[in-house]
Amino acid sequence: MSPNDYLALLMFAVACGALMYGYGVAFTLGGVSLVFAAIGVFTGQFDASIFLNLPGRVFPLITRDILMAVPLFVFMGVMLEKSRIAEDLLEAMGDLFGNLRGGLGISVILVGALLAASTGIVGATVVTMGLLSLPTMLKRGYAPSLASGSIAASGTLGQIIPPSIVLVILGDQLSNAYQEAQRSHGLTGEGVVSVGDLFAGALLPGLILVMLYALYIAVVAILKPKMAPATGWDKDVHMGRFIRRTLAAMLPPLLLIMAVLGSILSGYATPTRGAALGALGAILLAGYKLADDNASIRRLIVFATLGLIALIAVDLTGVDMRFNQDGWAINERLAVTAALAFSGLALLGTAAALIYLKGHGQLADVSRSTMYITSMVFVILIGATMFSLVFRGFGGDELVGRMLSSAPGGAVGALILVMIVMFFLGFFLDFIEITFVIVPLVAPPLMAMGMDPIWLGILMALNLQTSFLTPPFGFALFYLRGVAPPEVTTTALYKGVIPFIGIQIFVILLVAFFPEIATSLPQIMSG
Amino acid sequence: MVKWLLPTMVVSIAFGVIALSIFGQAWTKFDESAIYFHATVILLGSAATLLAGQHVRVDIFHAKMPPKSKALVDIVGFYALLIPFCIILIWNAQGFITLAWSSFEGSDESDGIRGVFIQKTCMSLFAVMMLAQGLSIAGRAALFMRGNLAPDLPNNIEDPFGPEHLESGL
Repeated sequence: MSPNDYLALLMFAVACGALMYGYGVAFTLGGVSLVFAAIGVFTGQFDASIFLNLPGRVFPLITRDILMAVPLFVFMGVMLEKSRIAEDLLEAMGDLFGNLRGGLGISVILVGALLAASTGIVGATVVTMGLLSLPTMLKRGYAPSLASGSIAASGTLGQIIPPSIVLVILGDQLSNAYQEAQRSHGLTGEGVVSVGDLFAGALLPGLILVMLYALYIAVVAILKPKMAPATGWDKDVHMGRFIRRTLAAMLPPLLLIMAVLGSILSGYATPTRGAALGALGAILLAGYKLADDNASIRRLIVFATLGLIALIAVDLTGVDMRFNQDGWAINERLAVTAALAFSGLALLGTAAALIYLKGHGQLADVSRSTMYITSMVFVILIGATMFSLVFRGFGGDELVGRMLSSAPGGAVGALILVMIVMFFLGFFLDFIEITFVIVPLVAPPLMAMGMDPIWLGILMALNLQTSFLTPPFGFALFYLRGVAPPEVTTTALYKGVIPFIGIQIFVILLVAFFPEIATSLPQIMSG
Repeated sequence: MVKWLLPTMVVSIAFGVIALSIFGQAWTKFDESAIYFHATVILLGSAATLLAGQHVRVDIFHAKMPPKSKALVDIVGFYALLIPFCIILIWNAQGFITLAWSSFEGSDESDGIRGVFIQKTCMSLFAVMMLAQGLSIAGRAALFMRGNLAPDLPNNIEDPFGPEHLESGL
């Protein structure tokens, strides 16, 4: 190993150590790498002119179309959360399944999977779920270990279930890595990897996880009824009203998330556009939910929603409605007129919802949170870019490539090595940082060894998700501990997640040995 | 306030999608505006995010530190890490931005927005704002370590070294 290699490795170690002190992650990554670059320049090991590339690398990051999906999905998630739609959904599910043993636990898993999908930042999701559902579960007699375990696990589900922002970022990084592998690692073969592909690939493994989680709770509820009791319905409940209330709480957010996902997976919209439509839907839902004192605004929003649905229905009939065409047939004229009217309705309702939300402060609130999360993500991206630039300046990428190719066991050995490293990094860093720093380094050589990029991405995502659940350092546990009431002991928390870790490992192995679980759906989608 | 660009972005992209996929209409300027909103939110919103303490930290140990150590982390972090981070951006962006201004660089599309040079300038502005905000936070941390009260913060912002910490930290 050359002195440069030592510097590169030392820089990595120092950065990990410095992060522990708790200064902003982005600035620590960037700053530490610059300190090492200075040392390198001083000892003549490092060429500072490499930094001239820096603006040219940073600028495209913040203007890349696909990454615009991040603020949009965050906006959608924060809007659903702040307007308490998420809370209602959980309550409604709990009521619906409450008379089954383990029913509440299963609804927590389902809601976690659905809602976490739109935010996907481990900390935020686990904290929200913990605050919302942990007290309810304990009140209804769930064992603290089972309750906290299922919340921590379902909080991390949001990373793997599309549309999640971590998949957007991972997909972007993987597609860069794939091009890199084709360019400089001699990978032959056509094709690109898109975020949509990764969404499609993650769908099946994600659903398997949800099913197994729910199955586990059901089994516990049957074997040890005391741990997950049935809550039962109130006797004097009016059945029709109950069903209506439950449907009203459940259907709209369910439909919204399914519509967003469907439009992306079917190729109707790019992830960015799907996310924008999702955010628009969230504005309408929140406006309807919160404007319960203002019937006319509610009516406008309902019309807008119907207008949007009708618009899509008209479009799906396949009538040609492009403005710049010759020879308008009569049905085309009709369709365009109707579609324009529907668009007008939608615009009007959106305006009404926005004005209401602005007047009552929620819009400012949601926008501010979204701005914070977005800036945080992208500033980390900038810091990680500096870090990898310096790491490459020291020849660290070649070092990683050499280490991987000399790993015992060939490609499989290299993959296992990467997985183990990522697993341990997951104790200290969030998904986003790991994706930005590690994936560009390890993914090109691995892909050059012939690994399917989607398969690799899903394995990484599952692996990190498991890491966040693993005691004693798992992120999810740490955040849940922060919001859990004192009667939930840390031991109970640790005991509660162990079965879920088992499920995770099982699914990782399943995907590892049967890559079709991850790769078949993207192949079908792309035809 | 930069945050209002976000709902604007949501609505404009959503309706851009409808215009494109249903009526086959696309206005390059309109579609590109979304990228401008997005980049502006990141570049000009970051300092506010720093002020609000929302840039993510690894808080396994940080959360348990006494306030004085936290203040020390903020001071050292600013001088050793954030300053180089910003300076290197500003320094190396000079040529990049000068080049963009020299041609008043616009979009790659012929009918796009001719404002890429302004967008690129925002990158330096970002670094300058981060420096200013970082300095202010480091200053507050220093005041706290010496046991002085710092000036008031804007609404909605929680002071990590506010009066409630002052006694416990000393």
